[in-house]
Amino acid sequence: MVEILVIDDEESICESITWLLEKEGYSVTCAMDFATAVETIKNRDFNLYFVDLILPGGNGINIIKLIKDLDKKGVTIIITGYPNIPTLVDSIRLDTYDYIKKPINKENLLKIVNQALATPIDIL
Amino acid sequence: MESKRLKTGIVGFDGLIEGGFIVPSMVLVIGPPGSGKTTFLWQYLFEGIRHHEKGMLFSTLSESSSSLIQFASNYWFIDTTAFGKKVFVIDLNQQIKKFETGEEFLNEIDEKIKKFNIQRVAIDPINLIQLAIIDIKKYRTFIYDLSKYIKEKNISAVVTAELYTPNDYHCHEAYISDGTILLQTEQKGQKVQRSLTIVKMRGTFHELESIEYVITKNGIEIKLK
Repeated sequence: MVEILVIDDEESICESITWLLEKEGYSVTCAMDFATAVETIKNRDFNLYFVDLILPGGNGINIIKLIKDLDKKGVTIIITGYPNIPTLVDSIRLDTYDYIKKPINKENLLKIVNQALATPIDIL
Repeated sequence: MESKRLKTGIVGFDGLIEGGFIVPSMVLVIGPPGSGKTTFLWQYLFEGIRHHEKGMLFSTLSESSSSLIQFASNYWFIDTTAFGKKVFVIDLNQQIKKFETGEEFLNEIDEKIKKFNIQRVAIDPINLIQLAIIDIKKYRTFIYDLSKYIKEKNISAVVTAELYTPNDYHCHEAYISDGTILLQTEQKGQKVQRSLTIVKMRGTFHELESIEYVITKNGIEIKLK
C-alpha cells in the first residue's frame, strides 16, 4: 500500500488531506510538529511526504534535508501558505517534486499526488 | 578528474561557477518575461563561435526565426553573418501543433543536431512544449530523456522556462536539469533592478546569494561587488 506522511501543524489540513487520500486508497500518517515528524521519518518509510515549511519546533526545510540525508526514496512536496521566490529556490535546491499552496485545492492535490506517484523514481 | 568547463559568454558569470558550465550538462534559466532569458541564450551560443563550437536555438515562440534574429542583431556581440553557418535558429512552434510525444520532439532535435554537428543547444522556452505533451508524467519523461540525450552526445544545453509568479511555476524542468539560474526583475521607482540567483549547479561550488546584473548592448553583464 502507498504510504503518505503529512507534516503540518494545522489539524484541519491534516484531517482534510487524510480524508481525501484515504478515500483514494492511500494510507496516511500525520505529524503535527517538528519532533514528531523527525521520529516518524527515522522509523518508517513513506512513498510521499507533504511538508509544511513552518512547524512548531523547527523548519520544514530541515525536515526535507533529513529525508534526503537518510536517503529515503519517497517524493517530497512542500505545502506553503506563502509561495514566494525564496520558497521556490529552496524547493529547487532540495529537489522537491513540487509545491502546493494553501488553501489546498483538493483536485489539485489529487492531481499532484497521482502524478508524483506515477512518475518513475529516476525522473522524480 | 577535473570536469571540462564551457564558457558561457555572460560577462562576469563564469567566475561564479568555477569557470563555466560542465560539459555535458543541461542548465535551466527561469525568469519572467523581459528578464533576459533569450539574451542569455544568444550570449551562450555566440560565445561558442569563439571556441569553434556550433550552436542551435530551438524556438518554441510564435515569433518567426527572422524576427528573433532581427531582435538579436541589436546586440553588439551578435555577428549576423554567423547565422546559418555557426549559429542556427530552428522554429519548433509548428511542431508544437503537430507533435504529441516527447519522442517526436527528441527525434527532431537529434536530426538537426546531427545534421549541423552542434555542440551548444538552446531551447527557448522549453515549457511551451507542455502545450503538446499535456500529461505531466510524459512531459517530465521528455525532459529526462532530453537531459540523457545531451549527456550521451557529450554536448551542452541551456533551456529557458517562463516564470510569472512562484505560484504558477512547477519544478518539472528544474528537478531534472543539472543547473538552475533564476533571473528576477524588480521595479524600484523609475529603475528596474535585476538580480540573478544560481539556484543550483551540480558538481560546482557556486555563489548562493542573488547577484545584480544589467542588460546593455553587450548583453547580460554581472555587476561584481
